Amino acid sequence: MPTNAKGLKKEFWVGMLFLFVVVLLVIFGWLMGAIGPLQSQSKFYVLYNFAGGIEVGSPVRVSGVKVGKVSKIEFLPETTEANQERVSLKLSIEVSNRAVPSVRQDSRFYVNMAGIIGEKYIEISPGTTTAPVLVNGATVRGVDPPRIDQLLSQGYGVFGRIMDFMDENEKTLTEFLVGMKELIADANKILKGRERQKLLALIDNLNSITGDIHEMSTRMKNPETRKFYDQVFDLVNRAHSIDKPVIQKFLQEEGIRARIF
Amino acid sequence: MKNYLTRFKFKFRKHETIEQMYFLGVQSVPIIVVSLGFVGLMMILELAFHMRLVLNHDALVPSFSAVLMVRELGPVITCLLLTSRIGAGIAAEIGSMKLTEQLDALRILSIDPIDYLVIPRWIGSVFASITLTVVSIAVALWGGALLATQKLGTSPGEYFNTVFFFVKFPDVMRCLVKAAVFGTLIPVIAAYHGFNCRGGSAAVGEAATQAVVRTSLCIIVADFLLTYLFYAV
Repeated sequence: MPTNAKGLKKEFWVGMLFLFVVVLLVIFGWLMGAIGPLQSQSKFYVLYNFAGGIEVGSPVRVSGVKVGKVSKIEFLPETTEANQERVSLKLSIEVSNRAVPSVRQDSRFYVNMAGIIGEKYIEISPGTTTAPVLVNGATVRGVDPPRIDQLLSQGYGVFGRIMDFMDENEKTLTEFLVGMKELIADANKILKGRERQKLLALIDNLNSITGDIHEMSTRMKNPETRKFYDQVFDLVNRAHSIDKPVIQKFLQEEGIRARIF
Repeated sequence: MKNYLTRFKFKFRKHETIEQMYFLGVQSVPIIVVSLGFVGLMMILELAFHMRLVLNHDALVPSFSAVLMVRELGPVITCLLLTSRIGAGIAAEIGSMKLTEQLDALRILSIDPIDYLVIPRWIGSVFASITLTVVSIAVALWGGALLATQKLGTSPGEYFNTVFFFVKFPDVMRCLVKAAVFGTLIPVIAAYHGFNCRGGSAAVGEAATQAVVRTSLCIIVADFLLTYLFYAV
């Protein structure tokens, strides 16, 4: 048998190198999440209209902790109604069983980005403790991420319309701005000029009137005032139903000349 | 079709194959470990510099270093080192055997020189390139971890949690395919130059030199083609 200087067979060292490499590949696979023979996982299906860059293998996190990954993405050929809403994507996600108690029926499934240039991942916000735990195989509706491109496109459209409006009404806008400028100048003159003292006095009077009104309304909320008010209201109602000729005759008998109503 | 396929039949010579796997693979481990260890250190420094320059943020340096190692530097640097170590040796050995008519002697003994000389070296070279590529990735990432904990203030746990942020297992498989392709190129081109060696001792040296140069060039071109095929198509 061929041997090296140490007396060990060359086959032994070749075999050791091969085994070492196999162990390294298993470690790499475990670190990447490709293999996890000791982990038990639950599967959920999340429906989206827009996945925002999520790919197969993208991580799934609960409260920021990685607990699984996206295992499959399916395009629904005919959009499916979920709670009266049409969706076009179905993502299969695997979540470690240690994190499943935090995933409730009112949990929200967001598409987030790790850092400024990080990869996209699905963030599951833990639901409330009163909601039941999501069962294995459940289907939920995810929260579509904002379409930045659509927002930009819409913003561009709105900005274009504003520019068109300003172009069409340039003269009117100019007159308006000139008028506003003159108004501000006049107001400035008043505030700085001889009328300033009168204006300050007017403001002081208004201040004291509002103070008095406030005091009156506070007093009117008093229970005795309310009672008085109710009595007056009752009296007026009774007076309203009294016949006019009867009043006229009474006043004539008393010798009072009055013009009624 | 059967006649065509018989051209690819060969006799598996266990003793010679194990010899070559030991010589090309096991005995190359020290040089690969030292070289790629320093490559890992260098990558952390360079990537940290670039990321701070552009993003003012170096949290993703371990992730990018892993992507670079797995996709490119792991198989390419390992196989370029193997080229210089074993490519010249194969070309010189076969060239010497050609000049001393040992190849003719083999033919007289009804031993196909390709079967006897090239096939074991091909198997050994593919074995060496694949195994040493995996070892080189592990060594470079480990070296990077040592420096990252000192230079970037990253804890080892944090480093190894983020190192495979962007690398997926299919990337590792593609890396091994690249290593296998490069491992095939080394003995084939070296053996070609050895078998076509004509003249005296100087021709043997020339064959060894040409083998290393052309194999290195072919590895670089093959790397571009495979990267394009795997990631750009």
